[in-house]
Amino acid sequence: MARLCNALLALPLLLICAGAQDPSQAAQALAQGAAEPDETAKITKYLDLAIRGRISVRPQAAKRLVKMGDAARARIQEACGENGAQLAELGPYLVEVLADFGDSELRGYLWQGLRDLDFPWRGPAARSLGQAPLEAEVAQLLALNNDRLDQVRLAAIESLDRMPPAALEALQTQSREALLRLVHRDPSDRVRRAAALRLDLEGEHGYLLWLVEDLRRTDTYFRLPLGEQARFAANRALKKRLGQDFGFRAEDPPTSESNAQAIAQIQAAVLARVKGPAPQVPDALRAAQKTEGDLIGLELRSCRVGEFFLRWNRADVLYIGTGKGLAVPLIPGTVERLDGALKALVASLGKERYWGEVGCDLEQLRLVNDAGSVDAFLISKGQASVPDLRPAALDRAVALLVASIPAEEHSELVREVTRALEVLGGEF
Amino acid sequence: MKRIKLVLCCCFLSSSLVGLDAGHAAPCAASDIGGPARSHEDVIELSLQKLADIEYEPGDDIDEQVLVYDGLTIKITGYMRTGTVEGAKWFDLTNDSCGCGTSKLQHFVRVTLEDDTTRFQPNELSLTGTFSVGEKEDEDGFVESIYRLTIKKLDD
Repeated sequence: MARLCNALLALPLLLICAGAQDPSQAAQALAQGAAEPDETAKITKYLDLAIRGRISVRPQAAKRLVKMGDAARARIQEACGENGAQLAELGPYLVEVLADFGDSELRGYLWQGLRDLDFPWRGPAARSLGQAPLEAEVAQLLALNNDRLDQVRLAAIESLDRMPPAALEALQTQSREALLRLVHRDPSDRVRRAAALRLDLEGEHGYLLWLVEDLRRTDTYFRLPLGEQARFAANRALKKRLGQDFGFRAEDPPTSESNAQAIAQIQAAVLARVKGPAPQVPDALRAAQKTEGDLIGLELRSCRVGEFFLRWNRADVLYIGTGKGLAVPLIPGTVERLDGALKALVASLGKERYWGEVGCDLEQLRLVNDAGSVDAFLISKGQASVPDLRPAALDRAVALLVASIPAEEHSELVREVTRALEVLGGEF
Repeated sequence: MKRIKLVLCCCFLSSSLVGLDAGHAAPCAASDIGGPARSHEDVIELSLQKLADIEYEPGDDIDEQVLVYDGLTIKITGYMRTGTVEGAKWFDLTNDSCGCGTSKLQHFVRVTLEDDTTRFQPNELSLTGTFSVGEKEDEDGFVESIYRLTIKKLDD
């Protein structure tokens, strides 16, 4: 409607400019003359919405720009700056659709961003490139399965389904090795599921048992229902592959009579597809169950350095990762002392619970209070570093937590967590 | 899908004829399509995982598995999305504080506060209110939300 109004308002001027003598000439002038400024205004508006609009609108605005084609592409190229130096300013939603413009220069910028470990939108860049992989890029895309960000590894695996078959065939050995490594060892359940689903497509149907195992999960990270999320994701994927869900309801406990029955039927349906011996789900990947007694949590999510989920349990165990995770025994009394010290520190924060601004870097300290509910202290920020974002009391708190990780056996983890904390909230 | 459309349509028509509001129409739809047992007064617990478990792109039909909750009173837990503006009449409820990956419209519930304004809090929220399902577009034709919840106020 707005476009029509603009066009009508512009009509007298256009008639004068075009020297139109008859209605058809006028209409032609209107069509040619009115479209351009209107389109330019739309591109400007959609660019702004894709970068700074409401979160729900950003991806839609980005897709509209793709539909607008060349004119939008030219503006985006301009916005990328010389040699793509300003690519990060486009934000994750535009970066994610950049390859859809089918422009080799923009594609080059995406690769450039992916190679820069400080580029904040490496996940969206990988997803964009993986949407329609070029034959010449197949090896590079596959190599991303080793990336430190699970979003990037996931994009690499999912792009296999869309790779030109001939190019992929030449890399079959590498691809298979990568899939087997990821399905057995990747810390992210999303990546493991994607690898299992790809192996299923390649005829190794037994790896669907990894998803069947996910149907049995009940684990949580404090109140985050990670097990339930895994049940939903696994059920959705299995239903597509098996053609039905056998009545499994992901929102219900896996131990309910109907769900237990459904899981047995799903497992039987998977095994019926397997020729020869089925692979065994490793013990470490068996369905994680909800643990009791978690007192302190440190959740770190960074679009540059990855994600860490740590839980200190009152039984003096540190759990690293989600799902079953890695259980690290601590010296008796450690967690009780930590809990007391942290509670004293956060008391100085008063009612304040949040520092920073919206962004893809997030640090969250969770403490179970005396009433049994969880108090969360959250820091978040965008791509720019913010010195001293974390208040002094939380600096001290995270320092105590890092110091409690047995450094000799887990030096790599200590290094990575320290780096993530520095990226998120500054030195501590 | 055809079946639910037919049932919802019949229920809507019948409720329109007798002058009932949408809240009265919904239980009819639910029972007929095998959704959760409920009445207008029942509070139904619903999870964000369940709501996110549909395939949807703007312009698509919304899956019957979530349509059945339209107009009902629900209880749902989640987190206020980081970046929530202080003093606003609405916020987005997501499945974690990070709100990571929640730009998909099926991954959040837009919560409207009738008698309150927002103040950001990272703790889990448990909210009860009237739920509605359906595309809501802004002035530019972008879908702003597909799930909405109206509540009175936030608890401290």
